[in-house]
Amino acid sequence: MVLDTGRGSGVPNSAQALDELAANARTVGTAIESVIDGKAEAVRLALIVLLAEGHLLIEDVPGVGKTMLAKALARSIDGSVRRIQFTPDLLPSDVTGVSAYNQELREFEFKPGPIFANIVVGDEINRASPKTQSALLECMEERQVTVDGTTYPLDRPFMVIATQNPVEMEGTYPLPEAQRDRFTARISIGYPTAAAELEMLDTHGSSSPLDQLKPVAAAHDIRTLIEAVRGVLVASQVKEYIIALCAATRTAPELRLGASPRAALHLLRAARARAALDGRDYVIPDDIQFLAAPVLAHRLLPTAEAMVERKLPEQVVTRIVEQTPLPRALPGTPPCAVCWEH
Amino acid sequence: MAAALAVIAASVSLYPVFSGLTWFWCGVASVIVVAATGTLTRLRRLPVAAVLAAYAVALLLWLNLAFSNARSLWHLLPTPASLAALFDIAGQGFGEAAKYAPPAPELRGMVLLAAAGIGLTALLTDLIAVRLESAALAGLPLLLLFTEPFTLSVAPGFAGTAIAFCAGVAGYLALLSSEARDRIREWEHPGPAARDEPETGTLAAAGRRVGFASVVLALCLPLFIPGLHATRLFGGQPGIGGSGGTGGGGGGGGDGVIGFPNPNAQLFQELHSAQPQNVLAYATSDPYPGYLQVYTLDQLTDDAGWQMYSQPRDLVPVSPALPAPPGLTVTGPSVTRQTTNITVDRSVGSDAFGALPVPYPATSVKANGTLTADKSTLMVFDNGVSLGGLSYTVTGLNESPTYQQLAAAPPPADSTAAHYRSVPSSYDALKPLAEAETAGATSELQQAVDLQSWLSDGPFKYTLDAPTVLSAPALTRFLTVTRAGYCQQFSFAMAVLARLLGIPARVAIGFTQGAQQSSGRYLVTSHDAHAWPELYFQGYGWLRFEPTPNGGAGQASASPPVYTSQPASAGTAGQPQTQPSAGPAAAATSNPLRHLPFPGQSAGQQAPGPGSVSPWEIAGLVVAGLIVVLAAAPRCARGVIRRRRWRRRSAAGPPDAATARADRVRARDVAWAHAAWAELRDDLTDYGAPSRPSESPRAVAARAGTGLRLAVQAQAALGRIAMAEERARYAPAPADGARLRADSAAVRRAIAAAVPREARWRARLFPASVVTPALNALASTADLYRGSRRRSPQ
Repeated sequence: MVLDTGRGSGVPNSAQALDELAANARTVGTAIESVIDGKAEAVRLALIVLLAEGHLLIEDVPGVGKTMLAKALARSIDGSVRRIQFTPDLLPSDVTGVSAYNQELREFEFKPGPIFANIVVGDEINRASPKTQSALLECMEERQVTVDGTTYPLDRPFMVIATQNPVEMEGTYPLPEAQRDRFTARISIGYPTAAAELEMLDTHGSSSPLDQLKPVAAAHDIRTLIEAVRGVLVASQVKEYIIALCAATRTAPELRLGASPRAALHLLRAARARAALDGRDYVIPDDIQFLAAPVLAHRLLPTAEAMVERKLPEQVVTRIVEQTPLPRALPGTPPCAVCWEH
Repeated sequence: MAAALAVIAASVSLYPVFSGLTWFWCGVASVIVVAATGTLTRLRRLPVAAVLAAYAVALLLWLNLAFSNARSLWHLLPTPASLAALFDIAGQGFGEAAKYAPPAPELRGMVLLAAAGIGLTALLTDLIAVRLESAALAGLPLLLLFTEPFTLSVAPGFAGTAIAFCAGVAGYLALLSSEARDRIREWEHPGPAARDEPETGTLAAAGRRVGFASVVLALCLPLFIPGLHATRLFGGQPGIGGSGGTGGGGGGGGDGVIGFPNPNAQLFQELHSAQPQNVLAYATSDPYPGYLQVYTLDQLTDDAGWQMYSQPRDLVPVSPALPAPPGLTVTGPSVTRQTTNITVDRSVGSDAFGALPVPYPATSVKANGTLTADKSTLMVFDNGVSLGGLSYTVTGLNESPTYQQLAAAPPPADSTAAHYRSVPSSYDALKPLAEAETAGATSELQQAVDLQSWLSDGPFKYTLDAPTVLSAPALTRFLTVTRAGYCQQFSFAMAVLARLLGIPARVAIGFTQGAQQSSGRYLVTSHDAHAWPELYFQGYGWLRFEPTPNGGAGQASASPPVYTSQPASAGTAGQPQTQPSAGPAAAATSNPLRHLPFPGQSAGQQAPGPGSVSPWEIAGLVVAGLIVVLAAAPRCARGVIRRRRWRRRSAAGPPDAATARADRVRARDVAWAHAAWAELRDDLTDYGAPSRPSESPRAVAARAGTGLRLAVQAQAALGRIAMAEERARYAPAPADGARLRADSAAVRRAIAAAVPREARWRARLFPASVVTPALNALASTADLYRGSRRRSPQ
């Protein structure tokens, strides 16, 4: 069955391929979960972002396992992994690489920075200055690096997993809106439950579980998975639903900046990934509803009143999701041939 | 205040019941009394029981003042005597109500009943709306007022009903809106920062919606209830409409000009007309006026019934004295001279004969124009003068001999009465019947009374739906087979039977005495048209008899004459229980309404005939039926929606034969999935767990499954329905829909079993999935209306 994926890739897709995909993804998920106890939801979101070819922002207080999650995800994939520790004195060239003069060849030679990897773990990204943070803009969106007028493409898959402390913490710079918009999703890990914490003390007390983590998927496996995810069907009414949600954030009285069209695109891709992880070859509104807060909230800017009222963008998104009706299918639009009011 | 206005407005719906306005003002006064009492009692916070007592006392005081002040202390405070009189009048009222079909003349008793009823309604409305602060519920007593004309079998014009109903609805709405205003006032901020005027827009819109819904319902409901407007509610039911107003539908329509009964038309038209029309009014010095005679039929024919002029026509001018009444020779206290001023209604057209209605026997008639009178029958003619608007004065004699006097009358001389005894031989076969019915009678009067009793109280039934009896076979059939008819049949029959027994007899056609108005005058309408037999007694002349069933189950204003009832002491008669009962009423001379006996005293007359049904029972049935229909409507609508949904969905496949089979199957599966899903949503709505428009099928199923704690199997079915809908909407290929209908039914049963009993019954009786959209549709219609008239300050 050939499906219009909306991106013209025409990838063969079948129940078997989907099951395979889901199984593979689950293997990766299980591997990560062996390191991070009791955070299946966060792991799942991280996987979704990976399959959606997106970038992940993990925001939480120090010590809850942000970096552990990032590294586990990176380690479980047999690809190149680099880690950048963002500090206030980090320079853009420390990220992208630098052209250095080669005495022997008597020419400038490009020394790739740590961004040239399949998975880049950017630790404490908001400790770097906005100037350095901006160095990531081109890499994340266009998956290329331009240094001294020369453009260098990045490997695929390419994923930035950044961790950051909440903005109120000392010595942090808030990420620029443009950069935040490039992250597909922001998740927070949260404190573990008592049982999970106890287990962590038991297992992690002697050795680091990261050491035992072996790669379970090769980079090209992930590329296949990503291609398969692109084949997941998104019905027109689901697309309309995405648009309706994004439009609602733009008119919400609590927000002064709503979701961008890029946010809609990210939401769509993430929804595809979630459907594929569920073994579905079609996206349902539940995917959108599940992902709306992680995908949209970090891009929204609350108004001063909302900030005073301590109304978080997540809450606003949740309200919008609850209040936005599912769109009706248009008559004659596949796959829903009969219009049914909703 | 709005409560009072609402009651007054609703009481307008009673207008078809009465033919005057006194009742209305009495009712308004009752309402005012109740409202004033309510206002006074509200000054103090009193318990509801005390308020109720205050209302009742005030109402009683007012009724006492209005209706029996003569016997009260200082014309104000009720005394036992005045209260007894009040109950007396109320009793009369019930009797009158049983006797008269609406529009009834304004008789004291009925006016009292109306005033008391309106007052009681006002009391209830005030109590509910103001004391219990529930304006909506107060509509119930108002509804009582609406049901009244129906129960009294009125047949008013549609427009009239609509206007009366709208008035009531307007009053009710005023009540509702006043409650809403009170509520808003409570919300008003007292501070200076508060807005000057509370925002009443939404509430006003709600009021308009309610109003619109009420009007739409009121206008549309009759269209859906068969028979409510097309035929008259109680059409064809004998015994409800006394004066024939409720005979078979539409018999007498179309006669634009009313006239006196034509001697040949057999009264059919007059009695069949739906609306009584005024014929004449008169004032008389006679406390118990008799019938008004127009024609006398004294010739019995083989095939044309009774006809005029058995004797040669012998007209003499009236100057203004008339010829002496034939056969009347007695004098004394039983014969009194009475004067009657008669005014014929302007709408009466002239007829071919130009006969005037006069009490019999008249001694003189004064009128403008040339009058002539027939010497042997005393019929009075006014040739060439239009009857409409004619006024004339009649001096006549009122004979009221006692039973004993008449019984002792000698037989009439053969010479004078021979031609009043002649019967064509074709009627001879009825003679044994006449003799059998009068067996044991010792006098001619006894025979006549027996005949009268047999016809009026015996096996005979009053109905306007009967063929005329103009020949011996028809008369035989009436007397032995059908035994149903109206005055024409009864009077003809009695006159024939009397002649067969050797009593001189003839038939008179005219009007009963009509009904006395509150002004003292009598009003005679086309429904009072009547025919009655007159029998000749030596020395007394022609005396009328009344074989037609009368009262509520017969000719309303007819009544048997006094002399046909034996005194109670003469209990030797064969059928004392069938005696007409005017006697006791006549003995009670303090009662000015002698001819309207109380029901208690005249059980023989008032008891409904076989097959007749009390109007209250019918009203109860109608109301119960309405309630049943209203209660069943949402449930039926729900069932219809369900069936149509599945049927339509089953047939939703594209009819195009060229379409591939797979596509058809897919379309069918999609259709079934949508049907099952729509059903599920409606079921959840019905059982009080509606789904939000933002919920996906999966979310709905999960919430319903866990929230209602459905059984595992039901949860599985629920999940299948949700998945089918999800696939139908979003997936490339729908799921197989074959099991969905069974799943849908299973889920419905499971939900019904899972919810509390109240929710279950609510879902059965008022399925929200039907009721809510209907109300919303009404609301949006009303919003259109609001948009078009934007907006009057509240």
